[in-house]
Amino acid sequence: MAMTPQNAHESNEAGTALVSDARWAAAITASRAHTDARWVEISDRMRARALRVTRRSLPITAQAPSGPVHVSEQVLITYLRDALTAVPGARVDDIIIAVGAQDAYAGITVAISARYGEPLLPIADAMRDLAAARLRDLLGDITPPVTVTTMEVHIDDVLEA
Amino acid sequence: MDESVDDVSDLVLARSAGMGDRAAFATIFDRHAAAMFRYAVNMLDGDLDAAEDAVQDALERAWSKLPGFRGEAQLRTWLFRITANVVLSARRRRRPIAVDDELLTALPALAETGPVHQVEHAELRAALELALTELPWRQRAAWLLREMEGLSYDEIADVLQTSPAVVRGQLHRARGTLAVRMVQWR
Repeated sequence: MAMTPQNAHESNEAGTALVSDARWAAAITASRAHTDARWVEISDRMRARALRVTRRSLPITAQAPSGPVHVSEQVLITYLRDALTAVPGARVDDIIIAVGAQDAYAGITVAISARYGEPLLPIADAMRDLAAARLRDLLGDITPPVTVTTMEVHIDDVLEA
Repeated sequence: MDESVDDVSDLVLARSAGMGDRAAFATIFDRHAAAMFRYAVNMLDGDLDAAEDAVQDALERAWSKLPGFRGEAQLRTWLFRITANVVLSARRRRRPIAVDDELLTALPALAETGPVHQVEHAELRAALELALTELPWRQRAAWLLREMEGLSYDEIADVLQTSPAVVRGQLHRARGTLAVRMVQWR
């Protein structure tokens, strides 16, 4: 405790000066060390379990000549995200699947960010073309066919890596 | 982009994990799960098994909710909020236990010429953890998040869904109580 001047002031107000700062620091360090020792024992197991958890996902239905194609929203998003990481200089921030009545596939919005200074339009073109190609691979000849007819470049924010 | 997953910010990791990137979620785990566990252990009176269950539950909830994470709060704060809710539920499910007389009496002080540091630290830790069990839930939570994990008042208020002014008061009372309980260690 009392690691900062603000904190030290408040500690004195609260009467914690009855116990020295060194004692508080030692107690906190000892408590952390005790818990962290157990964490070392269990963290691999917990990590493996956490990574096996599944996520509920909405069904998406697309119409193909042979009949409806059903795919989960999460599969579609993961497949696209994995594909779009191939575009250099940019990163996918979000993928939103639009659905119509009865879970019908209606379109996809891909939000991306680019490294500062990278030319945005070529990156957006590459992302758009790759997304359309991968959607055609995944969904096949659906109706309406996968096309990309509009593109919007919206400069939203500047983030740290 | 081209950077290693270990170098990217929490917000970027959260967005990637929200889109199903398990490598990003693994990095989130590596960065924050140990702190979640420390918090759970101390909020559950040192019950390591219960804390493990609570953190596992919190991580599963986090994975499920990550698609909706938009970065309004820091990822760490958001994870602590989930953990705090899970831990609170776990505490409510536990059967009440009789208060040990030891909790109501002053803690013994170590002799100045006591045993080796390791033993002293173990006793100091035990004294702190015992003293923590006497704090009301919110005071204990605020103290742990501030002193163990270094969260700001605003972040603690976000985790505990209250105001920074209330957090300040809870910390003040918690420090006062702990100081009295730990006075033998001055």
